[in-house]
Amino acid sequence: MLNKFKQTYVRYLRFVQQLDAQAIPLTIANAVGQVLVPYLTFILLGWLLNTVIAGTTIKAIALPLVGFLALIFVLQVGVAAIKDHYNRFTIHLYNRIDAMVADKERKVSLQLFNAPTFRKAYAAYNQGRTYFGSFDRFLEGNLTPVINLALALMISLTVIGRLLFTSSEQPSALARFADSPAYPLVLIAIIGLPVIVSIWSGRKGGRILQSFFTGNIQINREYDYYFNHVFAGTEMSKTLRVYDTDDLMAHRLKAVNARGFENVQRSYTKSTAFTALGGTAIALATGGIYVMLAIKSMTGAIAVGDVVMYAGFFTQLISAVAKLLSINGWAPSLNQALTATIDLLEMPDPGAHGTLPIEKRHDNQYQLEFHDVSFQYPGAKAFALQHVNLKLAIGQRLALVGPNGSGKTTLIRLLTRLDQPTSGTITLNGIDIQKYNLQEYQQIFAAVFQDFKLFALPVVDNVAASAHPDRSRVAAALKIAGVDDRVHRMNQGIDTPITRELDTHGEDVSGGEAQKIAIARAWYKDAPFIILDEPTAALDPISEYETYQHLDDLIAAKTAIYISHRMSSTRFAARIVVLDHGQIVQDGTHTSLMREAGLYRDLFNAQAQYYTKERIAKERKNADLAYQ
Amino acid sequence: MYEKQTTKHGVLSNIRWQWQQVRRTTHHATRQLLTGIIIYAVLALGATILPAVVVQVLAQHTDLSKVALILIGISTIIALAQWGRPVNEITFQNTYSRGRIAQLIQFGIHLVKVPYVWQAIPEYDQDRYAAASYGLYGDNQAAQAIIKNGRDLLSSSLTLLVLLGSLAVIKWWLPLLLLAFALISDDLQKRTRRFRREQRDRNTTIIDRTNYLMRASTAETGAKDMRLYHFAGQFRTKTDALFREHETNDFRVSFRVFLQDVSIAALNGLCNFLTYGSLIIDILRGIFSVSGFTYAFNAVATTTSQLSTLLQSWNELNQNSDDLDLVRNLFSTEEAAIAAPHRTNTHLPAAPQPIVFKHVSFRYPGADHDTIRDLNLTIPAGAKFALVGANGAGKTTITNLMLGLLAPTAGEILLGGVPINTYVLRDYWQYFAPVFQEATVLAASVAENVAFHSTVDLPRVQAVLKQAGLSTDVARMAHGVETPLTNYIADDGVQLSGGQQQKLMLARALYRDAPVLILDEPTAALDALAESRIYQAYNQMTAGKTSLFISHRLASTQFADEILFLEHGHITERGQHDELIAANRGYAQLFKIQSQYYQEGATPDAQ
Repeated sequence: MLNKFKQTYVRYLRFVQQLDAQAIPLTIANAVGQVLVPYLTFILLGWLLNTVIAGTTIKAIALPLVGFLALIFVLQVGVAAIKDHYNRFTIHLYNRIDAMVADKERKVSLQLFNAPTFRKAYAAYNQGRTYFGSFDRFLEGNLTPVINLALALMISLTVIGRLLFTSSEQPSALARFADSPAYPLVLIAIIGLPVIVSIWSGRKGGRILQSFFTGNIQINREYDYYFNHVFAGTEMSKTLRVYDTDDLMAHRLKAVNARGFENVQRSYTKSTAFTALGGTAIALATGGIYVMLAIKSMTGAIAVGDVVMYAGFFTQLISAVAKLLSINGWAPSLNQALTATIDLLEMPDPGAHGTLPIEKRHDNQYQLEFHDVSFQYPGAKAFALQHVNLKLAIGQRLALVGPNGSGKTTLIRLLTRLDQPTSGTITLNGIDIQKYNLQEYQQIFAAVFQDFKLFALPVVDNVAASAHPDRSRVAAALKIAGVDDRVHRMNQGIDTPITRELDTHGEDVSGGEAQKIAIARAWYKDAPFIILDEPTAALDPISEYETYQHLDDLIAAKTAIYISHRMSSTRFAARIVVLDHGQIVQDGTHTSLMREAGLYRDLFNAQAQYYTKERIAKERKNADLAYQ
Repeated sequence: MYEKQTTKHGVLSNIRWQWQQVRRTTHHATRQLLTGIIIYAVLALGATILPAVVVQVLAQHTDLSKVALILIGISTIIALAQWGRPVNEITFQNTYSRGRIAQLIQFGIHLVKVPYVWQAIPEYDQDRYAAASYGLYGDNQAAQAIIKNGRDLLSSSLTLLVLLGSLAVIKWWLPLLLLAFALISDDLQKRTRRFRREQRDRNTTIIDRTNYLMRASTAETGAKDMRLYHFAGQFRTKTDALFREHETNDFRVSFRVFLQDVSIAALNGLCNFLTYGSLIIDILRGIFSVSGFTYAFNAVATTTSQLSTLLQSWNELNQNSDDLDLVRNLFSTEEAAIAAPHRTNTHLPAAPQPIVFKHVSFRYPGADHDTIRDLNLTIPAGAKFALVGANGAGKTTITNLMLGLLAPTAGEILLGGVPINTYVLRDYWQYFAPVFQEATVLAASVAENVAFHSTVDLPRVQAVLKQAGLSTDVARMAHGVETPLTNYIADDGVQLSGGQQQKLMLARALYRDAPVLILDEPTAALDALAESRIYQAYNQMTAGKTSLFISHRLASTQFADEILFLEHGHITERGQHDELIAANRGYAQLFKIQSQYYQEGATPDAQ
C-alpha cells in the first residue's frame, strides 16, 4: 500500500516539483482560494440570521454587512489573481511535458524508439493526455481535493469541538441526548456514511472504468487508423474509389465504432452508476446532519443561524471527502498515464549506452568491420542476416546486391546502429561500435535511405540539418544533387519550406525532387561514410542518369556503400558484395563476378537482356504468338 | 466543380437538424432529455429550499419527529436526483455523441466518395478543415455542444421559472434586479469569450504545427533521418517557439478571465448588498419571516448562477449554430456531388472495347497550364499499350482521366463509343484493374488485401499471389494468407518490403480480372530477377485484356503493340520499339541512356 503510494503519488509530486518549484505551493494556494468564498457565504448567512433573530437595528447591522461583503470581494480578487497565476503555470507545465516527450521520442536510439515497451508507454501517455489531461489534471483533480479536504476537516473539527462544549438548559430527554457523548458519535457516524459509500462505490466504479480504458486502447488505435490513414490522406483515396473498397472500409469503421459504443455503454455508464452513489449518500447524510443540528437548536444549545452555518460546513466536509474519493473513478486511469509519462521520460536506452568519443580524423581512416554478425528482427522467425563477415576498405566504393529481402538494408541498419546485432560484433578501428557515443558515432555516416524523409522545414534546414547552415554549401549540395534549378524557382528559394505543414508559404515537391534534396543533404553532411540505399528509385531515367553522372562529386574520396536494383549502377563499384537470404554469397568486382556462374550474373543479365537487340526481337515474337 | 453551399440556418433549425441525426442512431434520446431536465430542476430547487425549511420548522418549534420526517423526506428526493444526474448525464452524452460520431464517419467517407479532383482544391480542403475543427472533432464542438447547450437552456429555464416567480412574490423588483445584473455580467463574459475565441483561432494554426512536429517526431518513417542527421535540436527549437507563442495567447486569455472575475465579484457584492439590505429592513420591520429570508438568500445565489447558465447557453447556441452550418453546408455540398444524378448508365460491356480520347485537355484547378493538351488517342480493344515519358509528362494524369477520376477540361473520352461521363462511376470502375504508383496496403489480412471484398475467393487469391511472385513469401508468414498486414491495428501484423508491396498490388489487380489492366510503374521497387519474372509473365497476365503499361524503365515497354512517348502532356512519338529507335528522337535518347551501362565495356566515364 505504502509502496504503491510511493510509486504513484510521491513519484508524481517529486516529478512536478522538480520541473517547477512553484508547483506545490501554487496548487495549495489555489486550492485554499477555491473553498474560501463558500465558507464565508455560510458564515455570512449564519451571522445575519443570528443577528436578525436576536433583534437589531438597521444602523447597527449596516456597517458590518458592508464590511462583510467588502471582505468577500477583496478575497475574491485575491483568489482570482491566484487562479490566473495557477492557470498560466498549468498551461506551461502541460506544454513543457509535451515538449519533453517529443524530445525523448526524437533522441532515443531507433531500437528503443521501435521497442514495444516504449511505444506502449507513448500510447498510454497520449491516450491519458487526450482523455484525462496530464500532470495539470493530477494537481487540479488529485492534489487539490486532498488540500480541500484537509481544510474542511480542520474547520469541521473545530465546529464539532464547539458543539461538544454547548449544553442545553432544558431537562428533556432530547436535551440529555444532545449533551451526552452519544451525540458526537452519531454525528460522526452520519458523516462517516457517505465516506464509506464513496470509498466502496468509487473503487468499484473505478475498476469498471479501468476495463473501459483498457478496452479502449485498441478501439482508439483502430479509429485512428481509419480516420487518419484510410479516409484522410490522398494516398489511399484512388484505391478506395476505383477498387470499390470505400464501403468495405466504411463498414469496418462503423463496426469499430459500434464496439466503442458498446464499451462505453457497458463500462462507463455502469461505472458512473456506482460512483454516483457517493452523491446520494451525501444528500442523505446532509438530511441527517440537519436533524442532528435541529436537535441542538431545539434544546436551546445553539442559535438557528448556527444550524444553517454548521450544516453548510459539514456539507462542505462531506463533499470534500466525496470529491476526493470520487477520483477513484478516473485516478487509476490517469495514474496509468502519468506513470507511463515518467517511465517514458526516464526509460533507459541500452542502444545508446556507449560513451567513447569518436576520434576526429581528417584522413578519414575509419576502419569498419563485421565479425560474424547475425540479426533477427523482433518477432521474426528467420534471421535477416546470418554470420556476416565483412571488412569495409577505406575509401572504397562497395555495392550491395541481392534480391528483395536478402538483408541489404538490414546490414546498413546495423552498421549505422539503428539496430543492434543479435550476435557478433561490428568494430570501428578495432573497438565494438556499441561502445561509442551514439550521436557521435552516427555523425560519421551520411545516408540516403530507401524510405528517406524530408521534414516540413525550409529546404536550407532540410539540407544542412543544422541551426546554423552554411548557405553557399547548401547551394553547392543542391547543384550536385541536380535540384538547384527547381529550388531556385520556389517562392523563397532555398528558404522555402517544404509542404505547408509548418508554414503557409511552403511548397510541395515531387517524389523525385525530394529524393534529390535528400541526396543533397547527404553530401552536405560531408561524413566519412556515405550510404545510398536505392537513391534513384523515384527518379526518371534522365534524372537517374544525371545523378550517376554526379556520383563522383557526391562520393569523392569517401567510403561509399551503395544499394540498387538497377544493376547498371552497381557495376561501377570497386567491390560488389552479393547477399542472399541474409548471407554473403559472392564478393568481387563486376568483371570477376560476371565471369562466374552465380546470383550476380543472373541478376545482371535479367535486366541487361532487355537492352540487347536480339532479345527484344525474340520477346516481341513471343508476345505476338501469345496474343494471337 | 466544387461550389459550396453557404446557407445560414437558424438556431432552432440547426438544433432540429442535429437532433434528427441523434435520433437516427438511437431511440431513447427524448426520454433521456426530459429526465435530465427534471432532475436538474429538482436538484437546483431542492438545495435552495432545504435550509429555509430547516429555519422554518425550527422557528415554529415543530416536533422532532415531524422535523425529522420533513428533512429526511426532502433529503431523500435530493439523494435520488443526486444519483440520477451523473448517470443521466453520461447516458445522454453517450446518446448525443453518437450523432456526432456518425457524422464524423460520414465526414471521413465523403472524402473518398466526392469527385477525386476536389482533393486538389484548397478551398475544399479549408472547408473540410473548418467543419471538422469547429463542428465535429471533439466533445466540445458544435455537433455535440448544440445539444448539450440546448438541454442546459431548457433545464435552467424551467428552474428559473420557479425561482424568479417565487422571488417576485417576495419583492416584485428582485427578478428585475437580478436579470439586470445577470445581463451586465453576461456581457462581460461575452467579451471574454470573444477574446478567447480570437486567441483560439490563432492557436489552431499553432496547434496544427505542434501536432505536425509531434507526428514527425513519433512517426516510423523519418525516424532514421531524424537520428542520422540530428534533427532533434531544430525540432526542439521550433516546438519551444510554438509553445511560447501559444502560451502568450493563453496567458492573455487567463488575464482577461481574471479581470472578468473581479468585475463580476464587484457586481455580485453590490447586488447582494441591495437584496440583503432591503430584506433585512423588512424583517426588522416585522413584515418578512426569517425562513423567507433564508430562502431568498439562497434563491438569489441560485438564480444568479442559473441566469448566467441560461445566457451562456444561449450565446453558445448561437455560436454552435454558426459552427454547425459549416458541417451542414459541407455535407449537403458533398452529398449533392456524390449523388451525381447525370450519371445513369450502368450497362458496361463485359469484353474489352476501344477507348478513345477526343481532343482531351486537362488542367488542374488553380494551375496555370494544361497538364494534358489536346490529346487524341485510340486504344483498340485488347491492345497492349505502353506509356513512356519523364516525371511530370502527364502519364498518371492520363490514367486518372481514363479512370474517370479526373474529368477533362475540354474534349471527351469514349468507351466503346459511349462517353464515359454517363456511366455510374462505381460500375464504370469495375471495368478496370489498376496498379497505382503508390502501394496501398490496408491493415487487413493478405487475402483481404488481394480480394478487397468482404467475401474472399481463397483459391483465386492463391493463384494471383503465385502469378505476382508473392506466394512463397506469403507461405512463410505466420498465418499464410490470413496474416494481418501492417502494425496499425495488429501487434503481430507484418510489414511488407517495398518489393513485396508492389507484388501485392499486382496480385490485387489480377484478382480483379477486369477487361482493362493499368500498370503504373509496377516494378520500380523490385529486384532484377523479380522484375524479369513479371515481364515474362506479362503476356499471360494480359491475355484477352486491354493493357496500359506506364514506366520509365524502357525495358518493360518492348512487348507493347504500341509505345506512346509523352512530353509535356503531348504525345510526341508513337510506334513500336524498333520504329522509335530508328526515328532516333526522344525515346531513342532515353533508351540509350538506360542501356549504355548494360553494354559490355562501359565505364562510368565512357562519355
